[in-house]
Amino acid sequence: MSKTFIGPSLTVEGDVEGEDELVIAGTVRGARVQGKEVLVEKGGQVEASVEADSLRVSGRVQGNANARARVELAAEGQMEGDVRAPRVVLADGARFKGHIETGIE
Amino acid sequence: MRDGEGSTIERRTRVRGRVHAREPVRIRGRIDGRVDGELVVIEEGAVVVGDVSGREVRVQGIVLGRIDGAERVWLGASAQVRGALVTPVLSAELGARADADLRVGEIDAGAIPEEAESQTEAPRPKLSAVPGSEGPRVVVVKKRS
Repeated sequence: MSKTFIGPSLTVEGDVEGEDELVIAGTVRGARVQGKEVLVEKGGQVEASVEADSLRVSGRVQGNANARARVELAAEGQMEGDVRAPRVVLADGARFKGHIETGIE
Repeated sequence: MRDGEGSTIERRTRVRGRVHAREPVRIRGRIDGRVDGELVVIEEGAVVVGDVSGREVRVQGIVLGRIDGAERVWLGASAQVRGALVTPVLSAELGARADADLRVGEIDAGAIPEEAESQTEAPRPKLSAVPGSEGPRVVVVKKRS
């Protein structure tokens, strides 16, 4: 799968959407980020809601996250917003403020 | 610009908004909005609806807007530009298409013989705004037909 890479010195003021893997090491400020696999790398910042199959955060996300498969907040990651996904992983040391909804069988 | 260097907006990715880069940026997808960068590469199949500025702008895709290359602009054979193009140095491959107001470098008035100047109708710059461009409207010199 091809990979959209938003590098450390790139800023998007707006929305990013697509079917590619999306790696964010820079900054996205907008209303919506949408991709298949979204990875917010260390140093990366997202101020938008995120929709994805899976989301992994080692950087910082301010906004709600909705994933069809999984959300993972790595030890160095920070998230502020509500998370909805069948599987959610918060690593030891990760910072999180918001609600988590995984659904109940 | 090699693969893996700088940022890449891939084919199936669409950005609606402004992109600002202090690193090389390669666009293969679609951007609806302004792009500011250092080296901006718009590949074949890519579409930018908005103004593009950079030290160097290389186009093989489609740009609807104003291209401003502080050092140079290169249009590949598959490039299509509608809007305006302003740069000190332009190179274009055979097949590149442009329907654009054009200003490339400065005319050296001292090199033009006086009688030749008087025999031709003096160029009368027609000031126009670029349709569809975002932000402050720009004033450019209309190309001579």
